[in-house]
Formats: sequence, C-alpha cells, structure tokens
Amino acid sequence: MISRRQVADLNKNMKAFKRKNSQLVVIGNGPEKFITPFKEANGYKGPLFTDPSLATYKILGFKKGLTSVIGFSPLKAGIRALSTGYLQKGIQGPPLQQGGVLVVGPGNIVHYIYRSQKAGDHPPVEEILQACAV
Amino acid sequence: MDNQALQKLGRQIVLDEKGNPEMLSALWKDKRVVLVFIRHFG
Repeated sequence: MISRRQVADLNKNMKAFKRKNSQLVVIGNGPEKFITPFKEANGYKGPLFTDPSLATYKILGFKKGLTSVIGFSPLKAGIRALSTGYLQKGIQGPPLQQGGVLVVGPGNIVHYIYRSQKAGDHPPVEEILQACAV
Repeated sequence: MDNQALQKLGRQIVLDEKGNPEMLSALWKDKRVVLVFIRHFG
C-alpha cells in the first residue's frame, strides 16, 4: 500500500516533471505480469519496468532487511496509506527490499539520489523537482 | 554514487510489461529521468 500511495502521489506531479523536461520512470522488482495490474490500480500511465534480479537495487545500495520494515514509522506510513484508500492487495516482490529515487541524465550525470531507510520513507516531491531544474 | 557504479547500473536490463528488455542507460541517454525504485508491486 505504501508503494501504491507513493506512485499515486508522483502521478499527480507528472506534469510538473514534464515542465522540467524530465521523465518519470517507475522501476519495480516483481514479475512483469504484475506491471499492468499495478498501473491500472494506480492510474499510472507513465513507463514502468521491473528488475526481478534486484541487481539495480544492489548497485544503488538500497537497503534490504527486516529492521527497515518494522517499527513505528513504517507502521505510521502504512496506516496513512490505508486511511487514504491505498489498500495493499498482496505483495509482488521481496517484502524486505527498500527502494529510492535517482535523478540522472542526459548522459551519465547523477543529479540526485535518495535511499529509503524504512518502509514509507520517501523524499518530498519538491526535493525531486528541484533536482530536475536545469 | 561514482561514475563506475553509474556505468554498471546503466548496463543493467529491466523488463517492460511484455517482458521486453530495455537497457537502463537508454532511458537517460538523451534526457533527464526520475527513476523511482519502488519496494514491490502491492
């Protein structure tokens, strides 16, 4: 439900990313057959890929482990997502894997990287938009 | 992240909904992209 809420929040800012000449791309890690249902559930129309090998997550140094999904703040984020209608309908992907955000390009230039520390830990959209400023 | 790690990242293959492979660096070759890595499809 936290991932669904995160994607829905970003979806609302799709035009703002476009205005900055930046393209929003979502990368997941479950089997590809779950991409279409996930997009439909979120109303997300942008590009979405998957990396079931998790190689990209590993290279980026994203967290993986039990301590990142238990505790008060993941619980609070879960309740917030649930209370706003983002009901989790089963997890497709490794539940202990954390994600993050990378702003890159054109070419091999990194402008921003954010590694989520816990479930529900996402950077503010304004911060990402700032990294998109040319 | 250093340039070597970024180049390695760019060589990774991701799949679209039909299972078609895409090299990650192709996404940012000509434009700025915001890659959002989510925890799971759920």
